[in-house]
Amino acid sequence: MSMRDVKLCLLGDSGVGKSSLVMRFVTDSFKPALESTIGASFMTKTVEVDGNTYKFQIWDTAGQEKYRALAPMYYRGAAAAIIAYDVTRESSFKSVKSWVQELRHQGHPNIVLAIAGNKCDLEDLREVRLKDAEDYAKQIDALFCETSALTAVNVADIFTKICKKLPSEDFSSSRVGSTVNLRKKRDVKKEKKCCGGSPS
Amino acid sequence: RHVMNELIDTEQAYVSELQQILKGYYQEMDSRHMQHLIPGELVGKRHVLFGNLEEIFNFHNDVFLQELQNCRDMPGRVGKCFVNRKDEFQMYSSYCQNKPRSEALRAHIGDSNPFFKECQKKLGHKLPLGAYLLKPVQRITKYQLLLKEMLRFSGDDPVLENHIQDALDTMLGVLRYLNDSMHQVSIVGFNENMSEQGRLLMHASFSVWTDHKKEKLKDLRLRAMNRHVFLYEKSLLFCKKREESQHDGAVYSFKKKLKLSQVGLTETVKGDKRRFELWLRSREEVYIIQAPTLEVKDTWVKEIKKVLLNQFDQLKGKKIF
Repeated sequence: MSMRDVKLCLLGDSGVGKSSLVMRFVTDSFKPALESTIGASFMTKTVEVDGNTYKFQIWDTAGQEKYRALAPMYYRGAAAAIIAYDVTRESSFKSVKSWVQELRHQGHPNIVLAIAGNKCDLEDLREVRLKDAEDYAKQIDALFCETSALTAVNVADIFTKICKKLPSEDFSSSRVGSTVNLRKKRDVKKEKKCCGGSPS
Repeated sequence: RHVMNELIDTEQAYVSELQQILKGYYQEMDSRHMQHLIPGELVGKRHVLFGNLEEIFNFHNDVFLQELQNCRDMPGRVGKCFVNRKDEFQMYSSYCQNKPRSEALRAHIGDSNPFFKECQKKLGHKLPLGAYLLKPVQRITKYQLLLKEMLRFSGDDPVLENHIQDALDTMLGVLRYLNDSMHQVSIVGFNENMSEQGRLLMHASFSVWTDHKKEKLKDLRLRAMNRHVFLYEKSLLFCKKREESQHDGAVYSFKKKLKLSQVGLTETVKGDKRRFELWLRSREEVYIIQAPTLEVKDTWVKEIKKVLLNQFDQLKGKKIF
């Protein structure tokens, strides 16, 4: 059994529920109006997938959304990024695209991207169609899930999928002169669809 | 008031974390028992690794934390704490500007070198140094969130609301400055004071031709040059992009500055729809600038026009819009 550290950063517009997603994943709880604005500046959580242990270091980026020049300090060196949007806010989905572009440009070449359409429990307020987001994710080869930090739908899933998609070797610790394992990355591509339609 | 408590509690935690890093890594670099563990590449590079972390710690530990604690029971005074320390918060921009160098150094020596490992073990930290070096960046972006939260709960007290709004504006200004300064860090060879150029409005890459009436031979260029153009409130900088291998940010070498108070703008130029012109002294010096797309050109022309109009209005001493 191997143990590896996975540095992950959460990006996306403010108010899409980044902190709530992390809370749900790490402590499996939800606070309606997160009474703490800050919370921990990073959290860790260990999960086991296919007999391997992954220790996530999740970097809280809340508060820096508008200050894009600061973002590279968060995602540089990250093995994975979750870009979250709010399914009830079209504009937040637009931002996803600009984040993807930036990460593809500036991030680690092997960075695993996952897109999370959060608040999917609010079906009647929906502005972003599931299909559109799904198609976009497929097109850029990113993982995709609609999640709800409130009902916990798919929150753990998206982290599991990330684990599976990580390149086989731990590139964060072997950055210098590491071999880039492209085959593995292609092999693992999409395996299954993650969430279909509304849960409620 | 719970936000007030959160502000103070997290400030305390922040100060103590900075202290741990300074004690557990920074000072350990002087320790005789640790010398043999320190990677050669790190020797003499402490200031690169930590930037001005010590200065930040001293400010928060000696000054800011006390000031916040003093108004735990008087939320009305907390706004002033931020407004009064506006200048001190600028020290974060040195920290952020150094951060890419620090990261490059850490990537070079690796997070799992024996020295870092030993320090981390001694401190009992779950996370490596890298996570802690990000703390100041996280902290400086959090104050505004806390202040916004306070504002939500101060609705019935206009005096309090005003104070907190001032503080919020101050901290948003600090962040804007920080954000802008991260772009500026990558312009080399520009010897004037950046802050005198005003805020950075936009930047993008263009093809540029120049035409100089007086020094025709010297400066006439038939071939287009690729220039990255930075538009500030007061000036426009032409730079040449240089790829930097050290870290993933691009570096720009400064080539030419145009003062916006002296330029004229021609919106359409024959030859290509994506072009526009900037000129000095009744077209003695002309810069033909071609954008990659028509959209880019239109946004730039619009923005430059706005700046020029603003200048004009200021000259007239009144604002039209």
